[in-house]
Amino acid sequence: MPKLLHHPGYADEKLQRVEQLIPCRELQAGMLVSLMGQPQHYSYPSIFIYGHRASGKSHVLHILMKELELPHAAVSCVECVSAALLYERVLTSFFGRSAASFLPRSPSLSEFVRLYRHQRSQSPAEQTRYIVMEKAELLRDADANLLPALLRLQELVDDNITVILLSEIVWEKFRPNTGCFEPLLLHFPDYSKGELQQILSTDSHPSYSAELYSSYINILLGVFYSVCRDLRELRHLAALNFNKFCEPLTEGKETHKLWRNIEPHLKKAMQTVYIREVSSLQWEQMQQTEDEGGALRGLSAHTHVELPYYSKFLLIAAYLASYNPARTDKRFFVKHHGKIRKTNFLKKNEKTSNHLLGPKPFALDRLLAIFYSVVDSRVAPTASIFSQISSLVTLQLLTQISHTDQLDAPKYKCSISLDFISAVSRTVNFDIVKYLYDFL
Amino acid sequence: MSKRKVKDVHLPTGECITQLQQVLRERFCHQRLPEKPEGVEAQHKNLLELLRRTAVHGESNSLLIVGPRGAGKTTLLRCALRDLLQDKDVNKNLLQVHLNGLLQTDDRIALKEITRQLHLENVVGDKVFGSFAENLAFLLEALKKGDRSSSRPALFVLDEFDLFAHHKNQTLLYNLLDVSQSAQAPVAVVGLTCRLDVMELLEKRVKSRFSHRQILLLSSLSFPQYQQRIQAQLSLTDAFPDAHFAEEWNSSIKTLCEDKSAQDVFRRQFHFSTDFRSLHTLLVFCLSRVTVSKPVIKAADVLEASRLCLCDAKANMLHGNSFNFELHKDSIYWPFSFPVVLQLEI
Repeated sequence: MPKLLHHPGYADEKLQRVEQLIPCRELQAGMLVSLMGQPQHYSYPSIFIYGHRASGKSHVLHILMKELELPHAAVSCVECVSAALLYERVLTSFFGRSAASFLPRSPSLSEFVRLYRHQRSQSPAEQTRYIVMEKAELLRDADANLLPALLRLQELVDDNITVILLSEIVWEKFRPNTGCFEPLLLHFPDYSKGELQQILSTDSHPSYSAELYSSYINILLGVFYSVCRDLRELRHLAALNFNKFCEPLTEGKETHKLWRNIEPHLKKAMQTVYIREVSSLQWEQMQQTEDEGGALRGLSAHTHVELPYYSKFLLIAAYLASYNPARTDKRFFVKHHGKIRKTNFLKKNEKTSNHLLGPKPFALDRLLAIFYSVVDSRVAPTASIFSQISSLVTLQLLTQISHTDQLDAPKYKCSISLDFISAVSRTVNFDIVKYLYDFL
Repeated sequence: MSKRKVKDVHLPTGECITQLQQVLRERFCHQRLPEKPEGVEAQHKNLLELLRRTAVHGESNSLLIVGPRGAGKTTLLRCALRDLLQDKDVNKNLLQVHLNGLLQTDDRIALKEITRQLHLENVVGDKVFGSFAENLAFLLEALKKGDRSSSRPALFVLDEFDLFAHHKNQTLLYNLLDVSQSAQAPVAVVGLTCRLDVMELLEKRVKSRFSHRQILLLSSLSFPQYQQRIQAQLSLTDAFPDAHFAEEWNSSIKTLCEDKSAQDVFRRQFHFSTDFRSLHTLLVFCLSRVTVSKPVIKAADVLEASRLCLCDAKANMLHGNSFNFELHKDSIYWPFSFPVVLQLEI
């Protein structure tokens, strides 16, 4: 691959500074610089860069544009909700405020191109001009002619201009129906574990040594890398938990206990802060109070839902219907039952518990049958019971599987976890574990 | 200035590479017109003849150039125009209006653009016209030559012709083709489109006014011809300042095209698509790896470029996901679901 450090047309010290500012992305930046070529040469009219979030796309491009002092217009498609804002931004960046003032009220693309051509004839480009568009996937929702026109802008305005699109989505999802000018496609891969370590270690705390911080990062990555590779998330987590890590040091204890101290803490963080059940502020407060015995009160709505009495039983019945196989209903819910013959029923390799396989769909009749056997008093099948089932669906505690047209035999699925249903059944003094097939 | 070619000019390698990059980048990125259009000589002659009939003899014509994306429609038209405008009389008289379906999304905008390109804004001023036809007739009337005997020939080029067919009532198309059929003024209407079924998009009244003349650019190249084209695209012409460097470069290109692995890459590209544009994408990647320390394109460059062009984007994105699905040998019996994998991962 062409080395970033040297390219005719760009000063060496500028390129070196770029390389220092973009760790672990030298390869991609080198490819970009070689594609851009020397400033006075033409470059390919459009380049499409894709990669996961926090893979360094905008960062690399902004650093390149700034350090190499290339004339560019940085546009975020989130800000430019209308095309007029985009045109104004581009004209202002290249030709100054006065040029943008010539744009009429709601300019069409035709007027933008005409104005650009006019300005270009007065000040032609000596070096390649760039338009960098972030979150380019929003362009698909704009006018249908905007994206194809931007891809071939070089040809339309007859100027040395290149449009660079950054997106998290692959190019195949952008292509219009009748085709368009295909841009060059570049992929920014995710950072590997070593690269993440290298990057995260650069924000070390000034009062601690770099080795301590990098050993902390090592531990953090060991816990979180398998579930999260997003650089932004990891930086956030590192910043939140560093104080806890350093606690034994400030208290004067041994350094080799650091790992043992921090590991359960990180595991707890994974379940709460990472999935945003607890906000960062709450997390910091909890760290200060250090309440070991108390359960974490999450932000999740599930812990605060209060249901009417029969709805709770309906929910319990739904859970049982989802997670018990249908043939075992007789054993659980009928007064005088026989024993189940185990051997014939076990299918090949059916060792996995139903809880791992996820909820199974059930018909309304089965739900009602289980409900009537579970609820202690006699309940009449009134409309209020049925409407409670619909409200459970609206609360997203049940999911409707069958098509809404089928009114006579709707099918549902229970979409709650064991913890939740245990909490609910505890409030009605119902021992749900006794009725679950997996815990027989 | 002496016309003798200076054969002994030797530029330093850095300068040569810069010149080389400039020439080739203009060819690949900026679509610089070739001296002679290659592979489409018959179509070129046809088009030129037609345009000449309008520009010189005052005949009205309409024509569609149809071909898939990247086939070279715009290049063909521009080459024909360039050759046509070499005639001084034509250069003086012919009026050109270039419209693009992507830019002029509405007939109103199109009309404003026509007025502007014919430099008739002052003439039109603040007049209000009843219909599109009146407006267009006024414009064409204003183009008559000083002695009012004959009008100047006008050439209307409609890029992305199929998008004009989506306008309301296809007014612009109807009026332009109407003018080209009636004897008002010598007008040539040339449409360029990538849709092969463009005729079905036209309304009946528009279709009947169209001359049904089509130039198809469906290339039927064989692989050796394609290879020759690659070689021609990468080679330097005699106009290059340093003749010695140009010779060395051309011979290195020749060796490259004879290399087995490079030929495999070109064959793969040929099977994928034979148009110019995808070829240019590949060649731009190859060109970006030419530096002063390595002033040739090697087979490894071509392989790397092909890998970049033909990589599977979705597979790349999947690779970056956190979950690594490792399917076990007997996994076909084991039902997978997210909770199962979650248990395995954590």
